[in-house]
Amino acid sequence: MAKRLRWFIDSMFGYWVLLLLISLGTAAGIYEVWLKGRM
Amino acid sequence: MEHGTRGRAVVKFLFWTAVAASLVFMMARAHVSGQLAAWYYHTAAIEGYAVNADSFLDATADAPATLAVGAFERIEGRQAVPVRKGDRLPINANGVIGKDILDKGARATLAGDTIVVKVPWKISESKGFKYKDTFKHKGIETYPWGAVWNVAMTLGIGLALGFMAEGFTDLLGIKLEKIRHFEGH
Amino acid sequence: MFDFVVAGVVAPIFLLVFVGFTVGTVGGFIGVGGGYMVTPALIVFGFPGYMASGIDMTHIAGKGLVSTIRHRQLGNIDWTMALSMVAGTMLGVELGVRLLVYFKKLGISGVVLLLTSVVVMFSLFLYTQIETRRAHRKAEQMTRDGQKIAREIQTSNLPSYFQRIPFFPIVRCRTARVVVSMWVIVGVGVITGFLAGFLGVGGGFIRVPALVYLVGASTHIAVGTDLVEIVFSGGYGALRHSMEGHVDMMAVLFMILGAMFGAQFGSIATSYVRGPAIRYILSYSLILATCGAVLRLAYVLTGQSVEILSLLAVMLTLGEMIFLCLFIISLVLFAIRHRHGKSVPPWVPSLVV
Repeated sequence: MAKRLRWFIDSMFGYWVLLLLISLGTAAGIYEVWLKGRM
Repeated sequence: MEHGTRGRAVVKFLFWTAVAASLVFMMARAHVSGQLAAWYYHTAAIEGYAVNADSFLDATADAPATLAVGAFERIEGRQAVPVRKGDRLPINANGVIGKDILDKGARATLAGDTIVVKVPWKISESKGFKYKDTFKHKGIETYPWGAVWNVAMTLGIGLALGFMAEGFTDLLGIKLEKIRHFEGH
Repeated sequence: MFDFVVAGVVAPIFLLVFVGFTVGTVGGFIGVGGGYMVTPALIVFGFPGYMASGIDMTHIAGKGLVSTIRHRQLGNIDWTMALSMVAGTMLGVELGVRLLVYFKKLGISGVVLLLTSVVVMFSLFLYTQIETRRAHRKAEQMTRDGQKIAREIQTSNLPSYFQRIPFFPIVRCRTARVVVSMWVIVGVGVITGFLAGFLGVGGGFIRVPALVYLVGASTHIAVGTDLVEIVFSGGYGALRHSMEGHVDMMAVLFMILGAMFGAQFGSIATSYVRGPAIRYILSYSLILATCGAVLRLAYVLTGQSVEILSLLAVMLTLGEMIFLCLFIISLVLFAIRHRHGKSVPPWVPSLVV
């Protein structure tokens, strides 16, 4: 499990995926809090 | 850090902070006084009667809405103001019932100094990617020198903030050296 | 929440400052205005399309100036190159805008625009990504061989072709250490300006690769020099948009207040990394923007009926800004760790200084 998680940092592509997931999650949060009613 | 350089950094930082603060204050004052908004006004795209369509959303053929026609500066509820193409719209107007529609008489008719409306008017609002052009936003005019003011303000604030930041890093003694692009192989 | 009277919209101040900060960071780092991220974001916040465009162009001018001042301090601007390009850029923008108006009259501008942006951005992404990976591998190999690596490693052969073009006058760009025909620089300005005017963007994401791969400038210098262009094209765009009534200055102000921190961070971050790192971030920005444009195109082509596409496009637009910002912050943190001898992922050392 730990090895799998290390892939997200040790590999450039893995790090890319990790940050993208965090970013999309944050974007979803922003949408939920501020934008849902407006669209 | 040398006393002289430090002194210069303090002066630089304080000067540009003052410039930035004044420009931001000027902009805030322009907003609060209504000057910014006054430079932007809607004009009528067609000849007809300016209305606030929200006031007769429940109009039907059986229970039509009656709008009082007059030269109001501000539309409150069921009122209509005669406008020609290019005229400034009154405050709260969000559309114009065209003269040709009144002549046809199917949706609305002119009766003396009132307009009788038989259907609600659909206004498409801009909403995210479903943006549609709406007659609310057509025909915006601006005061031409307002454009110059906008650009001058933006560049002025950008310049002041940029040098303020430079002064700030100088003040903290952070030395940012020129990047050596070609060092190495 | 703030009542933006001119735009006719009520929107949260936090979101505008946040967008200003993230796009300021990205813009200061890769030398773009960020319009292709900001305009869709503002539309999502409720601003009408033309207002979003106008606010974006205006704030880019101010934000570009903040970044330019910092990049000047870092020695990332080649003024000869920048000033040679300006006239070409302005001409290109004007031509691009006129073509756009022509397509608008034909009634097909929306789809044409999206298609053009997808093709342009995807092609740029492919070339930049492939070349940067080659440069990254070369840098890693040189490190393994014990050689000292410069700030810039670039493996494209294109600059040598363009630098051989003999048309008079030949300019010496001292900072960039490039000797090239002025017409190459002007030509780059016209073509990138044309695309920018047509697509309604600042043009940085086209101009930075063009300066690197056609003119042969180093990435850092391409970034700094491009930001100077952005001040000019942004300022001109701001003037035109303001004249048409497309600008709400209070929205611009909030965005610049966010950008003033972001632009500083992004610009200073360039001093922690090598050229390939900046090109990587640029290529990621391009592919994410391409995906966003594809989603919007799909949404338009399906008659604006498949709601999930619209939602995905929103998430991608906002997510893209946050992603790029996080990546840049990571690179700086890794660079600092590496300087202090702490452990970093294996792909990092050849990218940072």
